[in-house]
Amino acid sequence: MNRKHFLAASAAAAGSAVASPALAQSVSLPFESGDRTLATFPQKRQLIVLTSRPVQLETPAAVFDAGEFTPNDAFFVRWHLPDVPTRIDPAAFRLNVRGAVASPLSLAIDDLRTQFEAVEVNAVLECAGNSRGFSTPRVPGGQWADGAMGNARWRGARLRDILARASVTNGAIQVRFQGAERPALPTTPQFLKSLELAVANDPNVIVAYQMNGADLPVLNGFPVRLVVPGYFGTYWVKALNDIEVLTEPDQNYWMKTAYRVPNTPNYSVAPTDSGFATVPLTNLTVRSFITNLTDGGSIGAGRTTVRGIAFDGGTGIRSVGVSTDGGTTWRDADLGRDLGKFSFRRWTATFDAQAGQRYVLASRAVSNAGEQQVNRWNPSGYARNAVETVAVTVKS
Amino acid sequence: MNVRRIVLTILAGAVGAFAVAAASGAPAPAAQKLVTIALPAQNVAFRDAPGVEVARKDCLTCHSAEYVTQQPALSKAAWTNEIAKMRAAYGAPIPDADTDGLVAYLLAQNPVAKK
Repeated sequence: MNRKHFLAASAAAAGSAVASPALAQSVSLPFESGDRTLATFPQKRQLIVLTSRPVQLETPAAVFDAGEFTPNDAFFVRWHLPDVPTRIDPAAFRLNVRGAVASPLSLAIDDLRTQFEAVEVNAVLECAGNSRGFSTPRVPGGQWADGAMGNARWRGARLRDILARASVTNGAIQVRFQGAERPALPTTPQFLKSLELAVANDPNVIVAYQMNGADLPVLNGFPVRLVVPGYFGTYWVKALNDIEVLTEPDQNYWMKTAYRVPNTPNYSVAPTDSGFATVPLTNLTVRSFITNLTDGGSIGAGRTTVRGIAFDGGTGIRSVGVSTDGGTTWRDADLGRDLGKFSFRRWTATFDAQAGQRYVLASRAVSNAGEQQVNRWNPSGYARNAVETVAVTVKS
Repeated sequence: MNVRRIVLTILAGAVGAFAVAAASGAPAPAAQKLVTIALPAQNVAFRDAPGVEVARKDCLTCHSAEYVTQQPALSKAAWTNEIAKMRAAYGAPIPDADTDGLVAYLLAQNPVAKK
C-alpha cells in the first residue's frame, strides 16, 4: 500500500485576484480519483475536503505525528445529512430525554455542566469508513484516506447518570440518539443511532460538552455530542438534542440497513459473495500508523527513528511491531505514555539506515485482547485495519 | 477553486452565571453566546457532458458533486445500484425515466479502465 499524501499542493488559478484567508490548494490522495481540494471551514484549519455537502473534511496525515491528541481545528468532520446546524443558541438549547423513562428531562447546557459529575475520557473517534479509498477492489462510498480519525480528551456528563435521573423503566432495551442535522428531503431518513441499554450505561459513555479543554467546534457537534469510547464514530451523534429510551429494537434505516458488516470472521467476505447475514458494526479494530515518514520519501543515512500511533476498540495496546524489510522480520517498538485504553498510543523504534538502500517500513499493533491487524474486504469498506507499508530511500 | 471568505461570527449574548464543573478542574466556559458559522460555497461542479442537467437535477439536492467525482471507476451495475440506493434508502425522487441517462453520464465521468 502506498502512502503518498500531499503529492501535489498547488495554488489554483481561479479566484486568485481576491485576497482570501484560505488559498485554494489541492492534494492527491494515493488512490485513483484521489484529487482533493483543501479548504478552511469555520473554526477549522485547512483540511482535505471529502464533500462540501454534507460537510465531510479529512485530517491531513502530518497532524497525527504532532502528538497523541488531535487539535480541535484539525479534527475530521463527517455529517450524514446536508442541513447541518450553523446557528446555535446555547441559551435556548435543550437535551430532551424521553421514551421509557419515569421522569422525562429537558436539560440546558448549564444543567449538564452543573447537575452531573463532570468526567473526562481520552478516546479515539474513527469513522467506520476511514481508509475506504484503499479497499481493493474499490467500493462506493466516501473515499477517505486515513484521516477520518482523531483522538481527544472529552469532558462531559455520564450518559448513565442522565438516564438514572430520568429513571429508565422496566422493559427498556435500547437508547436512541438524535442530533440537529436534517435531510434535504422529507423522504430521507432522519439520522438516528441506538445503543444497547447495557452499552448506554457503560460509565465511559458521556454526553460531551468539551473537547481538548474547549467548546466543541460547531462542525464537531457543538454544543454537545455523544462520546462512545471504543465504538466507531457513527454512534457519536453530534449536536445531540434528543435521547429516547426504547422498549423495542430500533428498526430505523441507520441501524437496520446502514453501518452493518458481514457476520463473518473479521467482517470479511469475497467480492463475489452475496446473501450473507450482517450485524451492526460496533468496536474499532486495532490499527497502527507510521506518522513521521512518508511513503516514497527519502531520508538521511544513520540512526533513524520510526514513530507512529496505535489504538484499538477499547482494551489498549499490548505491543507494536516494526519491520524494515516489508514484513519479513519484526521487532518491538517502545510504547509511549499510556493515556488510557481508548486513546492513541504513541510508539517509536529506531534502525540504522544504510546509504543508498531502500527500506519498506511497516507497523503492526496487537491489542490487550490479542486482536491483530488483518486484511479484510467488505462491500462497504468498513473497519479497515490492514498492515500498511511506507517505503523510504536512503540518500547516498 | 474558489473558497469564499469564511465568516465566523460569535454574536454577543447574555452571559449567565459561570458554570462550574461538578467534579474537578477549572470552571467550564459558559457557552451561552449565540454561535453562527457560514459554510464555504460548494466548489466542485459536474463536468459538462451529455446528461449533466439530469445529474444536477437528480443528485445535487442532497449532496455535492464530489460524491460522484471522487468515486473510483465503478461498473454500470454498480452505478445502477447506487441510483437504486438513493431512491430506496434515501428517498431521492429520481424518475425511472432518468436512470439510463444518469448511468451513462456517471459512467462517462469515472470510466472503468479498459481491460
